[in-house]
Amino acid sequence: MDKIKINLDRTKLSSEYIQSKQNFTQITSQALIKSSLFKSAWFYGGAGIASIAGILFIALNSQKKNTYETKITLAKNELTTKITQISQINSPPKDAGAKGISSKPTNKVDSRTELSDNLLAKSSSVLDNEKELLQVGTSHAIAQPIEIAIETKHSTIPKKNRLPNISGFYSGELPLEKLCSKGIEVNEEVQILSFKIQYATVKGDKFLTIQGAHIPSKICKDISELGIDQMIFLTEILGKNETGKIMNFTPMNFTCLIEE
Amino acid sequence: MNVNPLYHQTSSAIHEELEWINEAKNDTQRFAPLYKKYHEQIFRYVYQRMDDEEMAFDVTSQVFMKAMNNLHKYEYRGVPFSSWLYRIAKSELYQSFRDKKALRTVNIDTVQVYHVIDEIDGDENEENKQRLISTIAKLKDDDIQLIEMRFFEKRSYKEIGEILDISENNAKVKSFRALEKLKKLFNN
Repeated sequence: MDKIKINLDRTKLSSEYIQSKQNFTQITSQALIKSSLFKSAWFYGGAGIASIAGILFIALNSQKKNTYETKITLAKNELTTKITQISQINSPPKDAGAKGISSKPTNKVDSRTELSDNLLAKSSSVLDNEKELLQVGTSHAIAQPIEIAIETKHSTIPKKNRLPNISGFYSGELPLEKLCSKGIEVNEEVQILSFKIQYATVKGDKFLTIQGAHIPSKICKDISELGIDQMIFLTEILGKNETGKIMNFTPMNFTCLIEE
Repeated sequence: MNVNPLYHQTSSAIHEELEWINEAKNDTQRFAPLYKKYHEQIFRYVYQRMDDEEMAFDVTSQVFMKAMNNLHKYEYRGVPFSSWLYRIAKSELYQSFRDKKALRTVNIDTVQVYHVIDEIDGDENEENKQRLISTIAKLKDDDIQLIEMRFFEKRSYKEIGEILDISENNAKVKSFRALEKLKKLFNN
């Protein structure tokens, strides 16, 4: 207590005066307002329900956000991988730098550029819902190839190609002569041991296991005899690296074009 | 020493009061008899310790509002209902002092001052009257409360004990010590 005041002989209030100041109605109404607001089960019930709803809303929202972010991340990763592949395809074997892509002769790009476009188109489709990202990704990839190469240079993906290909084709349309000319390749260090091939013949579908990297001439003949473009599936591609480690590579599928 | 008839009730009066309390627990309108019975008593307790009359009425209203809202917590433990109200009043009073809404005041009559002077073996004169007033202001609030209740409000030790939530004997001892402190300060 800071200070005390002392009053001497203050006038006494009469009992009548004090009683005249009684106001029970006011006390009751104020007490009721207070109790009805803060003491009632409705108040706590309502507050509880609101809290639960709030928590649920936040939880669901964050989950939704997470899913959305995961989607974007996956799409980004896929796009980066594809772009890396493109840059690897387009870069000369001994000079994989940005300069290589920018100085690459345009006439040699032909089908590879097509492939790049296909891959990019595929990547774009993954990003259907993420329009902004799609725009950024594709515009960088198509309009500014040099920038892509720079990004790839700093990417964490290993430079060495680990995707199997035939004559530089990874998927899509492939002329029969190219399918049969070179075998499956990965990189200089990998030797393809075997693979399975599925294709259609005049007698029906065939599913064969082939030893080695080359597509046998019998199969090429069968495909040619059918006379129409068809889908070729190359699966369970096995190879070994320099250290002798057996590796399983990504399957491929091509639309084999029969040239007339 | 006068005895507060409203505080020291007969057992039948206490039982009647308990019925009102139980009814009021279920229906706030039934609190009216308790309000009418104790309003003046509580107001006087509050006003004795305050300077502002309107503020004293406000605090009294707060006391009864709190009592109504917390009536479900009230349990009869052999002490009158008013001692529960006094405790609420004390809490509300000191809250208003802390909030600086009101100033702690001690209201004394000249007759009471001379009575205290007599208790501390002093001479009943104007000089001692002024000295005692200034000495009271020097006491700690706990001691002022005891002197106030015992000599200015004429409360019994039993009532003081029940208001302060201490035993009657403890109230007696504490009141004696407070008076001794006053005497010591007065004579220095």
